[in-house]
Amino acid sequence: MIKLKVFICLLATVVCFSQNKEILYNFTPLPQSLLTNPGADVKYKWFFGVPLLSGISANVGSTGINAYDLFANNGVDFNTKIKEVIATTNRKDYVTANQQLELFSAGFGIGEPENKSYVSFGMYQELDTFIYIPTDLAILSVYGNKDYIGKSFNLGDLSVKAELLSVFHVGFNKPINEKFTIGVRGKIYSSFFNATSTHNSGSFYTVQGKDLIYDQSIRSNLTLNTSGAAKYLDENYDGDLGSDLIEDTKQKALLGGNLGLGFDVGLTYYPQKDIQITASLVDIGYIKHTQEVESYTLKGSYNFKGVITDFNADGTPDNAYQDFKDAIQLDTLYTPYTTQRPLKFYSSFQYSFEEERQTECNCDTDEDSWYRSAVGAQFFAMSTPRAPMVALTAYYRRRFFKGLQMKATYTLDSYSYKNIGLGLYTKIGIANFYVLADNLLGYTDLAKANALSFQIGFNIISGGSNR
Amino acid sequence: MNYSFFKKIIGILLLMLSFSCSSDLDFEQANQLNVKPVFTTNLAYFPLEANQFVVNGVEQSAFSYIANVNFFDKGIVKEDLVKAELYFRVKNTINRVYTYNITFLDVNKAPIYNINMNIPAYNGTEIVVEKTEIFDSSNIDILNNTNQIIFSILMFPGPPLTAASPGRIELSSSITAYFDVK
Repeated sequence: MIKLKVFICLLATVVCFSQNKEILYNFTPLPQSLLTNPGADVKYKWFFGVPLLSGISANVGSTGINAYDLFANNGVDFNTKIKEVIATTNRKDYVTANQQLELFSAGFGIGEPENKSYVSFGMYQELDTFIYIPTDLAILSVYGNKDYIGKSFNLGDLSVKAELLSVFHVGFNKPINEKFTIGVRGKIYSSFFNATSTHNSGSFYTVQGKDLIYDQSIRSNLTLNTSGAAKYLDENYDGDLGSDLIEDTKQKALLGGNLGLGFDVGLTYYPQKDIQITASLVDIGYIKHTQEVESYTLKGSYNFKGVITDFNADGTPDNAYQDFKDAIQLDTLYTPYTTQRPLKFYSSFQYSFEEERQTECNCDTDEDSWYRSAVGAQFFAMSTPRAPMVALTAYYRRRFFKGLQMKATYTLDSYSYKNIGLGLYTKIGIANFYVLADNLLGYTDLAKANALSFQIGFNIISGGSNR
Repeated sequence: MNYSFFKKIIGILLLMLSFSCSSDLDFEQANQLNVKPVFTTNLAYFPLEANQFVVNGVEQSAFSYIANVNFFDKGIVKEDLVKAELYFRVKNTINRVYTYNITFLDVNKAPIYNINMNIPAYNGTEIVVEKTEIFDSSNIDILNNTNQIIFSILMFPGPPLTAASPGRIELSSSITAYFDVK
């Protein structure tokens, strides 16, 4: 009799900071690992996640600053803290937030038991924001230019993007032979809201002049694209923001927003039985924004000369202000634009040891032997509006017994050099429960943590992988 | 294995969360945001060549120009300008004595402030005269009420100028504006 194993996957939560899912990646007992590598070496008969509860995660991260720096209740003047943050950060620092909610997910195996392919599908909602610290603009706003004669302020420091979307996906995972498994996942994106201002350039500088007191000029090439927000940006908008947003979300969730296409690819390869190599590319895709598009540009250049006259020609500060407005015009455009999804790359190398053989018939698993332990290294990279974000992880996986597996990670990334994470996978009767927690040292003081992650869940799974 | 194992896991989880703590944060502080940027920019530049004082072979000794500057009572300048330094610099390489008058007029064209600069004659080395006028909380209202500025130059009698006379006199000026934005 085939004992049906049912696992309830109730993924509640929440504070996962940084989009690198280093604990989940290649933690193949969890079907969710297919979302980080469609070619993961998974084993199951079928699974499904409880609608709305199978995956809730939120990630927030920042480099250079943390909540404590700005908001500590320590008597230090807020404006002093702002100045300290400006002094200690640079244009490479950023604040990022990512949140995902799995609406539903399911999968099943097809074909012969010894050469099973897997289909998995689902839908999730994602919020993605990425903001670089606009250092030069902050200096200009807080200090002005008086003490920065000779400095060229870089208007390109302004780089922000925010997107709210739903993703419908179908993946196919196929072992080519004993050594090689490949997978691909197709995605349809439906963007409810997008704001992108990442291709900005320009400068503002003031230097001592020869005849005029200063040579001072501004060159501006700023663009902000938005879609799905035109209604809210209208100055005459007087609706109820909360209820309108909910209504919008309902309408756009099921492919009613601006649509895009994308895919993930991945593979797992065993050069020998105890060596495993994996790699995946996630979110190779784009979104075409055609509905409710409203874009703003501020382009042009101007030299600030003040009133110039030889007492015969015209020229007043009034004219100068009008000249400035004419030279650097604010334009509103309604032309479609395209955004790329942040591309994620994962890869890993794993060595397994402490091999165990099955001694009696156990229909819980397709495998006749397995390894108790494995050590490995992972590499993660993600495209951002500027230089890619990268992370290196060393990990140790241990299968204590049939129903308890663990993955411990140590990660070096731009947020921290002491990121220790732990994942626990348990399987009791028909239920699977798991905990993934990142940056454990950050829990000693959440306010001072640059990044944190925490995720728990229940799955309903029939069959299971132990690799 | 039984469900007590679950309880253990959840127990560990709760323990971890209860050990985690957070320094006291106060997000209300953002309301205290107060920036005091200081911007500096050119205000005016009036160059005059020596030969421009000769019109149709006759010396013209006075020039003046009325600039509309009604931006002093608008937007951020009216709301948040707390101090301003007006800097004037005159360079003279003409062998004549001059005086500059910079007169501030209100909306009724009544003079409310005057700046005077006396410039000695050129004597072989370039004459440079500088002056800084400071408007602070005691008199910033004068700037806010200023609607026009009359820049005028008067040349005093001296060695006659011709269309071929060398030298020039120029007025360069900048403004440094101190804001206090809450």
